[in-house]
Amino acid sequence: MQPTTSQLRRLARTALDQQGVAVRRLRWMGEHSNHLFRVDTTIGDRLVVRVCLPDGRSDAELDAELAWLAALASDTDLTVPLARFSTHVATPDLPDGGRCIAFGWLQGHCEHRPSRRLVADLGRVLAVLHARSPVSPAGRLRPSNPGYRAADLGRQLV
Amino acid sequence: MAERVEAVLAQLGMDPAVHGLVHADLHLGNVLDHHGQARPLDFDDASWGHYALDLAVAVDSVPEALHPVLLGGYRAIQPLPEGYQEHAKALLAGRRLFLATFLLANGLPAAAHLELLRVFTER
Repeated sequence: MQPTTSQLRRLARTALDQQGVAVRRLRWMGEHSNHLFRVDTTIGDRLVVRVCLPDGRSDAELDAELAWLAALASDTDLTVPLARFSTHVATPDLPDGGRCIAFGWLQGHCEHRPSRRLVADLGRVLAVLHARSPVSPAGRLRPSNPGYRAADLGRQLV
Repeated sequence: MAERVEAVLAQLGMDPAVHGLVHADLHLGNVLDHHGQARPLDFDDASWGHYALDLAVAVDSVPEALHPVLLGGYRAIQPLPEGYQEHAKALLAGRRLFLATFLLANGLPAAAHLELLRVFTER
């Protein structure tokens, strides 16, 4: 059974308490492939907490993702989300717990009617990501991509 | 179509020039606009994959009139991924197939999703 938003909120709150983050407001940002909360702290800081449940990506995969983000931030001019902390927590109503990753908040807005400048920069960003990609799959991220998943899903529908 | 995409990816191979660590979901909805600067988000689908397909994900998310602009931004850093131009139609179709089947596999609760599905299957 999927956890409720309240249960996930308690999990995120537990992680923030554990890390000594004084929370002024904790808001549900929705569920994508993960569960996201926006955190406003009492000192005016803002974070995004991603709650990763045990049935999702493995710790090794998450570690690899965070390592890539850290490398991109240090080696390129890209502005990417950076982890402030990552911790495993559990609560009485979610005893299996989950991993909570807090990212620094990035300024900006989603634009569904993009400017030429934004679109050109999106192309540049993607090229930088590819240019800085490790060349050997020696890491721990899963060997899959949307194409393979599309094929799998397509077969399921046949 | 799934077989077609698979065949294209198999043809591209796994050489480091065409295959590596990719974002895998860098569509416009996963980008923040900060005074025209694109700030990529949501790296949780990052995986080993083909650069050409990764580019198709981004291209398919912007209006068709802006496709050359996005490709120009990419070319400002490095040449387009090998196989992209040759197989762009199949790669873009594969992306749409993924999105459509993802919505079907995850239920069809929202009118917005139905509209998306209509758009993806229409193009």
